[in-house]
Amino acid sequence: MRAIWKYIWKRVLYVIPTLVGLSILIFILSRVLPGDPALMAAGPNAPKWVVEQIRHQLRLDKPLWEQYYYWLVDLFHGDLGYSTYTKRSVTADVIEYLPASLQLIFMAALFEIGGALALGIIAGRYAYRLPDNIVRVIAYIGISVPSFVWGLLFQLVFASLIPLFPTHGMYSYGTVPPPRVTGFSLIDALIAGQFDTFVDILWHMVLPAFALSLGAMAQDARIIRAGMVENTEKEHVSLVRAYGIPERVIFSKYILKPSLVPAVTVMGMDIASLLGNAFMVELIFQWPGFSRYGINVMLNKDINGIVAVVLVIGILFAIANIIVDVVVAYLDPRIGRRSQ
Amino acid sequence: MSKEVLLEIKNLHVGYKTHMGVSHVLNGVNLTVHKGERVGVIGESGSGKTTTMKSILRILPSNAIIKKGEIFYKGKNVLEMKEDELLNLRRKKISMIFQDPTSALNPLFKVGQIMLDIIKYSYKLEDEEAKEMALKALKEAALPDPERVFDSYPFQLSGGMRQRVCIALALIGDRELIIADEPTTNLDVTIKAQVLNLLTSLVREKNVGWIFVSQALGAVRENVDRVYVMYAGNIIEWGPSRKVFSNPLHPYTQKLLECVPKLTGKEFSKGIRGRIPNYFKPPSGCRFHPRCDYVLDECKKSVPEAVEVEHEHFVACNLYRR
Ligand SMILES: Nc1ncnc2c1ncn2[C@@H]1O[C@H](COP(=O)(O)OP(=O)(O)OP(=O)(O)O)[C@@H](O)[C@H]1O
Ligand SMILES: [Mg+2]
Repeated sequence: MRAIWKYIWKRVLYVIPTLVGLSILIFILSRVLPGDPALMAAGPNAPKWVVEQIRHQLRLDKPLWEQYYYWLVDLFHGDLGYSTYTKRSVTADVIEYLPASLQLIFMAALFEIGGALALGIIAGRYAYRLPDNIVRVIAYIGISVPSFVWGLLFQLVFASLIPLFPTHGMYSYGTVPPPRVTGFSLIDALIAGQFDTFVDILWHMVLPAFALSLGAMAQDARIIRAGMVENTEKEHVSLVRAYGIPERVIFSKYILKPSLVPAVTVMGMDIASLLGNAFMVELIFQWPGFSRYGINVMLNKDINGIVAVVLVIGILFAIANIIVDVVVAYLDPRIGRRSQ
Repeated sequence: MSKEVLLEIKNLHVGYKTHMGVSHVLNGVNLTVHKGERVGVIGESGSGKTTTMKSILRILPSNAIIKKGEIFYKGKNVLEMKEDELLNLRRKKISMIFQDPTSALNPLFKVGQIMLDIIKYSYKLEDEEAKEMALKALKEAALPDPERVFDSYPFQLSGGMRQRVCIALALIGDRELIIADEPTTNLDVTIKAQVLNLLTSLVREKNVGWIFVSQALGAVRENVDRVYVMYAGNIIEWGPSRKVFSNPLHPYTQKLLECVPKLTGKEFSKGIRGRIPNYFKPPSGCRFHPRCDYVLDECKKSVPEAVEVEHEHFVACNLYRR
């Protein structure tokens, strides 16, 4: 147990330089790409002195390294800078919009993991037979159709034609949002004891989360299936079979476990990239999330917003990476120990 | 040695389905093991030794097809056994040591986990008793620190230790037949002899039936009662080990024995010209005929029948037809 904490700690330390590198890269990119942020913030008809004032406010009149230095100093005070798009602190924007997205992604991740495991295991168990072929077709469609198309389709079929789910938003008409405590509306609803609201929010999340999860689900189901087919032929499976271990145990233990190792890695990355993929889905379902904010800051060349959005995505990837490493180390003893 | 038959493989034909078509590997294998008998199987790489051994326990790869033949274990056809009979055979009667101990142990499970699973399903024991049984087997396989090995993952053990673990698995319970499929081929030269000595002395001590598959002809000669020579999916010669090694009849056996480097001799062995046939389109008749120096017309037509040339010494070759 102690070993695993040490391992986690080490992974966290590894991640820090990566994030610093990412922040420098995006910091520079956001400032050298064409388009004058100050001009865009001020608007086409603003007088020159207003533009200059904004430029000064954004420290764009200073050398790049100095800008970065002050940005870092501010960051340590929890300040991500001023957003020219929302006209307030980027930190406030992140706090407002990110939880809704994370909540959606969390649900999509549950769908993704559950669906990938179920489909992958069925396909692996009945490889080259009918269930496998069905899963294969589902997977091809899942992989090739982008999530926003799923979103539109689900909206049409399961919200409009057959009104099982709400078409958009986070709350039904007339539902009172719970008082904001954590920003995660599901948790806030529970804190406020509004169980009906909790269910209502969940209900609103099903279609967008499912649409979001499908691509990754399909891909990971294929990876699990491939792993199972490969491991079925391994000599160590012949050995446990030769010693009379029942097929059901062979399958659920000696074949499944090694098949999950490669899948976990891909799953982690897939889940992390959900935030980036969520934009269109959030737009279609009018979900008040971070991805919409992300695209808006980019369109408006809101440099502090852009840097924050990219960093948040980077941090999410880093966290996913650490979780993946830990799960893989737990599954495969060779990995955690070798690095010690 | 009693003459009670333990295992009898009759006319076994096994092929593999591949994307290139079916490879017809085993082409009528016949092999008998008596109770407590030590039987050797020799033959070059790819001749179908592992395929034969895996057929006995029905653990062939999923693309294998058993086309024809019977495998009797104490008079019951293994190929027709129902699930529970087959499990009983695997759990109590026959055990197998695999060619490569590294790939034979699942890397994600501790030795102890695998052993406990095997013992628990075979003997329905509690954890405590099962562990005791496992440790006893590990000790028998001459592993220095059984507790530590029990608690190790395969990657924490050396190749020799892994194969000892596999030997320990084969020793659990009182087996009637132990199949050792090239148990030392994948071990370091220095370890080979140790593992082989361990295995042969255990087999002798327990008086258990033993199939020893190996390309180490010297080891086979010293440690088995009877030997089978396999070529391209056929048993082409068999008999008491002494007779086969001192008086090889089949041209293939003769060449094979010539291949053994003689430490005292001055010249290198010449090897056998040509190579093992393509199983997708095997040669007609005797599969050895394209490589044989004494090939006759009839060799190309039909598979030669076995002839008993001297007492209990058989050869399947047209040169010996009367
Ligand atoms: N799963 C499989 N699919 C297709 N062909 C196979 C499969 N397993 C074995 N073969 C082929 O069957 C033939 C016999 O293989 P087998 O492993 O039985 O030989 P062997 O005598 O044990 O050889 P070695 O001494 O190398 O272990 C080889 O040509 C091999 O390529
Ligand atoms: Mg082999």
